Amino acid sequence: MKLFPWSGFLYELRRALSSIPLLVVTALIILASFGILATIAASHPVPSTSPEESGIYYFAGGEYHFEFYTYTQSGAVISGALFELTMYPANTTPYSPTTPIGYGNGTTGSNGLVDIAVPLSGPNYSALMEWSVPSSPNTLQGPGTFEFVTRPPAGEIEPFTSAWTNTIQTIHHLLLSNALLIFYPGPNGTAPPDYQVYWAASPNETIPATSLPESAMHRLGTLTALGQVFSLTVPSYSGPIESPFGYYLQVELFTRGGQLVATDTNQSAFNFFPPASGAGASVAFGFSGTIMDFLVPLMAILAAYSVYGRDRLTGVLEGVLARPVSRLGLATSRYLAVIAALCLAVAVAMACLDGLIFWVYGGFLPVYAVVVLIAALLVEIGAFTGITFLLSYTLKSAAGLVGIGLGLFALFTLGWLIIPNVIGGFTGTIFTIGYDKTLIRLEFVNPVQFLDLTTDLYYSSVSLVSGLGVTTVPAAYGVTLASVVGTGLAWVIAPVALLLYLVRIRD
Amino acid sequence: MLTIRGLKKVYRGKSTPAVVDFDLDIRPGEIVGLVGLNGAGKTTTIRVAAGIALPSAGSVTVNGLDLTEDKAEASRFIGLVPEFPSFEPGSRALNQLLYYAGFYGLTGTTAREQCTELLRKVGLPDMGRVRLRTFSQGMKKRFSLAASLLGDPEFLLLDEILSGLDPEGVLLARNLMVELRGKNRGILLSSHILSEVEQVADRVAIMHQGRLVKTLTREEVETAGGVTLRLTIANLDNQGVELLRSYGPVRREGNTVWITRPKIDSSLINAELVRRNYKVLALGFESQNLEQAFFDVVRGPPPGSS
Repeated sequence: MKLFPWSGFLYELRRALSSIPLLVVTALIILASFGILATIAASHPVPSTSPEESGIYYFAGGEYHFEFYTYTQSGAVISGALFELTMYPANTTPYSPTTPIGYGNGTTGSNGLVDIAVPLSGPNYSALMEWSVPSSPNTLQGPGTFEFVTRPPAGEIEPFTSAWTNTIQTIHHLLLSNALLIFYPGPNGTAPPDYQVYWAASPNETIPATSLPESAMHRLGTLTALGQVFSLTVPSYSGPIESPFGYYLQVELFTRGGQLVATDTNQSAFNFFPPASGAGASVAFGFSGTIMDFLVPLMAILAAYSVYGRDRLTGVLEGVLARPVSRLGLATSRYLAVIAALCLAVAVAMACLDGLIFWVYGGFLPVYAVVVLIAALLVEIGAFTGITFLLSYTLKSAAGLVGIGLGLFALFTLGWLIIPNVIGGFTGTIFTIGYDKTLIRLEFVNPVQFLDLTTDLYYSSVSLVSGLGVTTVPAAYGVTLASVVGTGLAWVIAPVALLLYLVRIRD
Repeated sequence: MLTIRGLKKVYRGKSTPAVVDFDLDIRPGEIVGLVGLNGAGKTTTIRVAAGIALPSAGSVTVNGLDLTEDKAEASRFIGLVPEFPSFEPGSRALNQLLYYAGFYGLTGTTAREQCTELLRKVGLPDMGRVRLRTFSQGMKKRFSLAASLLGDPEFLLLDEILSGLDPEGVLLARNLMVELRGKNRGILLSSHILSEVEQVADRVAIMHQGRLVKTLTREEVETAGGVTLRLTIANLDNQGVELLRSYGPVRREGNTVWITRPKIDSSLINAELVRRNYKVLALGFESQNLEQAFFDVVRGPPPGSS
């Protein structure tokens, strides 16, 4: 005996996919995702267009050479930046009435580099650097740098900024991609000779920075120019991470032979990964918690109604049941067709959302976040589809089914927050721990709020209303992986099990 | 053979059974009429026999397959035309048929050809692309008839198939039933139009208050009502009516009198009327056998009839 009517399933799938309610609601979800992400994109921090510079100096040929590299935060070099250096006797400040003893200037070329030679030969000086970018809205960038200059061994590179102890400068940019810009001149300001760039990310800053072996780092590539941009691969994480900050970046240069050349001890906090995943996930959960939570149940109810409930209550299903198909087979195939159609619709909406997140944040959603979101939405789809199918066996009119279905939708979405307030009002427990517990417990008995449960789990925190912003671990309120999975399964399985029972015993 | 045994159906929330103790066999190559007053249980019987409604007790088997236990397989042998066919309103006729055809394992070109042929057969040859919501009640009946023939079932259950059909449709349905009987198909025909049932049925099952009260063979149908003699008499008066009443139950409308199952031969009645100077303008016979038999069963025979 043929247990499952595949041809019927495919027909119903096509029918479900082309049903007006499903198409309209899917379009609404996609439109909403565009609207929300456009709003977020407009307010999203973008890299500053202010020019940046890095500089070094070295002593060669009886002259001090100051080499500066100018770039934007997107890693693009800036040409035409004018640098002026004024040298003073050692240990003086440019603000005191001291006569300059040396002077030099230059303009960055198309590679963003400028080399300024100052003909001084003494061991110690103070230097005032001023620079400006005529093409920038903020033309005058200095005086912002006053450095004490000591004469290094001939040809040896020293950082111009004394606060730094190395010559590797890194930048990152948020908008387009995660990348490092490395500025590292070789001896006498020449291009670095085939150095290998390695990097590592650490959640903790190590002071002072200690060099890491090659084996503990990720190779970025070969440094072939004084200033070079390297794309970073977002490091993997051991769990969901919401915070956009917290990783510190260490960069080291090695020779081909594995000899350490330089270590970047700057270790600035590097927020390259959260914009791509953490912030994206935050937006995705926020979007799902509002728009999807609202529209997906509505979509499920309407699709289940149009594919099964209406047919059953208007007699259309009888024409099908007269065919060689079992009751269970017919109900199951239509249920699965609705579920498949809804999943497809949600997948399209999620794909659009993920694409937009990539466009805005430069990275796709973390797989873990996608899995959690899809699981939560599947539970909502399964629950509301099952409930609507089930209602068609307990009600006697299509209008009643629509009314009750939409009534449940309104209760679970719009009216749900009234319940804890009514309970709290009667018991006088509003904004207490008891109120918090009621809120969390109600999440277990509302399929629309299943996403809230998974979100609590995902972020490993529950925001306490009574604490006004205070958070606690979900387990303290019974939100554990087991309880959430069990609740999800119950929402999907219970209506289906009851449905299949009624299918067997009722006309 | 389609066999209904001990059928009982009680709808949810109702205390009175819609059908009770119902036994009937429908054999290949015969048309069985199912008649009864409104609410007699005809439609319920057909719904259960088609596998749409579940029996509260008893069973329906077709070729040995239980319709409840082996629904999918058993339904291959049964085609149904419900009293009020209902389809997806937005679906086009051919698409809906193709959907149904899938349940019979018919797909692709074969299915398309068969469905197109069925639409032609029921008089809807150019309606394949038309949406079903635009169909009239009669067109829906024709479409439903086409759908019932999918898979070439051995048994057809036709519930008031003639209601809503135009005269051409009635003729088409009647001819189709006869044709199918000739092809050894069994048909259960429920109808309020007793004359139609009488024309085609080999047996007639009479239902009353949920029970099968009598099953008549064709011969029994033909003789059940007896003969009704119709007389039109120019100078009919009360004495004349009283005279005729002595020959059997009489109904009078103006100068015309009907005598149900007259006790003596019509020529003798005519001779007596002439002898008494009544001018007999017309004399004829009417056959209302099934109707008479039906009312005899559901109301009891008329007083004075034998």
